[in-house]
Amino acid sequence: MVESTNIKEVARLAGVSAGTVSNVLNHPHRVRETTRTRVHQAITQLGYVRNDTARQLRTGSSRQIAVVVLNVTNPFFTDVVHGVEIAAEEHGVAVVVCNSGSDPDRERRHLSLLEEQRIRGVLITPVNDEHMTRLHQLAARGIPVVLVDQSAGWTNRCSVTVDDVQGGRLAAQHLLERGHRHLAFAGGPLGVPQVADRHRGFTDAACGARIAMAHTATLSIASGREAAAELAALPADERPTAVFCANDLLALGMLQGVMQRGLRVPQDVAIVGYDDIEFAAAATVPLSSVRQPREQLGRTAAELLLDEIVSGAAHKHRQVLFQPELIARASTDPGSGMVASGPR
Amino acid sequence: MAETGIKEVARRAGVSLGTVSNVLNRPQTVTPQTRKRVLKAIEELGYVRNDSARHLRAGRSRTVAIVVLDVSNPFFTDVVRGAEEAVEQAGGMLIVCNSGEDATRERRHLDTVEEQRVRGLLITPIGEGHHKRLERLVKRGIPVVLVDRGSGEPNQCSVSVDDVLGGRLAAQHLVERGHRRIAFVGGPLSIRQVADRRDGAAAVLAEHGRAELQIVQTRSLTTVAGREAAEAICAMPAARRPTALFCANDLVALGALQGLVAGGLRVPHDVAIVGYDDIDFASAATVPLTSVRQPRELLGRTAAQLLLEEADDTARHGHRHVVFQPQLVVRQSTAAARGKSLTR
Repeated sequence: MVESTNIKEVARLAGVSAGTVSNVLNHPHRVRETTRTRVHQAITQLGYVRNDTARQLRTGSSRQIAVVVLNVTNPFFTDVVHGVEIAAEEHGVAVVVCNSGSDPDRERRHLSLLEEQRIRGVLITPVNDEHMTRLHQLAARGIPVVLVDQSAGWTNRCSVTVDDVQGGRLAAQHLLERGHRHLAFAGGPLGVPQVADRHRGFTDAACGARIAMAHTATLSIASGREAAAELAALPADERPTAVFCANDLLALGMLQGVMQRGLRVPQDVAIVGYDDIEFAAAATVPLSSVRQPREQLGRTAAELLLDEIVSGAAHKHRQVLFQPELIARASTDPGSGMVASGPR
Repeated sequence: MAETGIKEVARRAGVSLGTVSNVLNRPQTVTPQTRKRVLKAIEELGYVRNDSARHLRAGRSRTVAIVVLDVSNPFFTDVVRGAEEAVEQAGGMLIVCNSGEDATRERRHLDTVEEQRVRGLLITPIGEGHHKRLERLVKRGIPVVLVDRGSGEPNQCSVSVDDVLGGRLAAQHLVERGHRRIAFVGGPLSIRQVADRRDGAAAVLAEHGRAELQIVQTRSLTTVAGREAAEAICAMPAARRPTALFCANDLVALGALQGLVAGGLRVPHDVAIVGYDDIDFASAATVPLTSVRQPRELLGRTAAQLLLEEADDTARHGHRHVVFQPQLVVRQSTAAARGKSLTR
């Protein structure tokens, strides 16, 4: 271990006691200006860095908040993180991102480390309801927690969500309006509350239509490609004419997969995604998608968290619910199909 | 904030403080019965080891930090995925910090990781300016590995991809496709990777006696910046407009693609595009993108492995500079136009 400059050396160089150095760092108003200047000079000369770990032991907090996301490679979450950063920046607070990768065990390990580090507050999209008690515990121990994009089992504290049931409904209504009567839902696992809600809204609003179910193991491009292979393998008269994918990564994989197998989008299969990430509009066939206010979700969640950190007991818990919006593009537009089917 | 302390655990288990500490730190020195009693008390009381206190003694944590330039760029989240895998295999956890190409934010993150005494740091620094800052971290016992950035530094490992070669591959490909007016789109040029890619491309054009590489500078490496650059390119008179763009990364390329198409130009017929990184979304684009592929996850994994090796045995660790080779992946965005001469 390399030795770091410590408070004693600073005190020796400045010719003051260690207590005075500590006062300069923590209660500068108690120290005369000349002494303060001398101590600061010594600090600069020695390159002393306050050991925050020691300080945290006394004050119980760092100037850092954490965002625990389900999948750091999904642009939905990095947009949420961006919103968090905008709010945190205004308070001079640093943001660290932890990736649970939808794995409850990793989620638990991240939460333990964050607690051990005495993080200031936690924003989290939980993998499932497995660690709800753990999150309530964190909050009870003075580390505020705000749930992002999910609120089940979290009624008395802050959460910021988007109405996923409504999002599923919007997708179904759009496809019904476009004349589709044989639909499919691609997504999974259904243990993910967001997926279950989107599925529920979709099947509710599409009652009367035939709905096939394509379970996927994950919400990734690769899973979308696999689901496309299944779909494309069906005989044409048994194949759904439209698919609603539980997120845009799945939808992009679905798009690539069905096109590789010679199906045209939207003439043979129309596709609706979810989230409206930036890449949805830039896809081979621009994707219709249910838009979530991603940055705003992150910003609002961070503002609630920072308010709880700063106001303490005066903070009022709030549950904010945003409404999603359907963005129609070529992947569900029969009129634009000829243009989008490939190079001319 | 009431917290369960080690004292309460000792009282509940009917043992001394030292015994509890032994159970936590040197379990083999405690009889199985006592160990069981202490662990039971820990569980009942919900005691969480205060890692801050432990750090002060052991001087290290299980957390590895990675500081990336832009967390919303899939290139970096793929690097993160690779690093995460290696760190977790070694029993640690990775936290992600986003500098957002902002020097103040980078500094704040470095301050925080230094104060937290993380086990090690992976970083793609913004400019060249922070070498001293990173050196200081190393001196204080926090190993640093540079990611995606070569280093002449003898006391630091680095993992990078040969960006000059990447630039050469892109330009060579465009020259072979008959392009004469080629523009490089990217910036800021203070980012070493950007400058290297430009230099590689410029060298190829010079060797072929072609017209000089045009430079369309962007403020950042985002889709928005790409769209803005495309607007400027669309506004050029056709006789001076480049017939091919080499974009400094795929986000810029995807933005340029959208901007050109919106401006009424066809890709690749009017303007061909080569991107860089080969992120997942490159092949899913409106016109699938030709791109210079970087081994993104491998880059992250290798960097983390070097870092952990150094953290485990600083004395015996020999610093290494690993350089990977990029690879050109050809897709439709540079397809030769049928029946049309590109040698104009």
